[in-house]
Amino acid sequence: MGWRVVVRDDDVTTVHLVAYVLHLVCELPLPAAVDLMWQVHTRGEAEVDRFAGRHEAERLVARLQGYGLHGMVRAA
Amino acid sequence: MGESVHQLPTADFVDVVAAADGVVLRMSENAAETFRFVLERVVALLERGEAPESGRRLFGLRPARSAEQVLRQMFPDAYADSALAAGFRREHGEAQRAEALAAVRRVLDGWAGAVSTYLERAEVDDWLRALGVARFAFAVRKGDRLVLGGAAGKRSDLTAQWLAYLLESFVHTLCPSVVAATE
Repeated sequence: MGWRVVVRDDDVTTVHLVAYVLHLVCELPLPAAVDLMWQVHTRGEAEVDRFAGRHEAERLVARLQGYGLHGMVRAA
Repeated sequence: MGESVHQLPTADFVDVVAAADGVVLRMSENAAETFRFVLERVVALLERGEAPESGRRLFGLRPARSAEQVLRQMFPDAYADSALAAGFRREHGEAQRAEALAAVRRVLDGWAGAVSTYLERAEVDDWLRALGVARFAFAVRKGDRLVLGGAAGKRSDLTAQWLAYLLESFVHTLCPSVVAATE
């Protein structure tokens, strides 16, 4: 069992900011960050990382929320 | 997601220009005063639990938001399950608020309301985090706007637009390739 970190869409954050924060915080290559951003935009959310431990997943969510993104933890 | 905010219907301005190892942030005096006021409201919220003027009762349709409600917009539920979400808040909530407050304070102390200032990358990161959470003192993540009309509602909308505009300006300057990749 693992823990998924997802980012949810909102009405305030622009596509550019979502992609940039995913690139910055999740250390994703820019094309991958842009792909995930489009998933967030079109599907309402996207899985941006996955962890074996819940604490690591929560730490990433706390960081994403620190930039204003709606990060959430889900059981895998 | 939010619509593009790279144009604002006003003579005031703010822009972000690339510079060696950082950026230069420039804005009109009125914009500087506005950003300073807004960030001070965020300090008051995070430090003293004072709700910003982000909504008010209008014909009984929508109550003003409490500080707790505003904070829940800034730091939303991390789990779909309410008990797990409450556990996350107990574990991380205080640190999240403290880190956001520290970022806003560093922005205010380092910038001091100047109309032109050079920011190193670490300082830019503080701006991104400060503005990123500050938006939700004046906007909701999903659904209706805060107030159905009225001066307070217009003010909140405009404040949120300015914050989003400045954030977008930072991203355009820091990472033009992210903009190109989404066009």
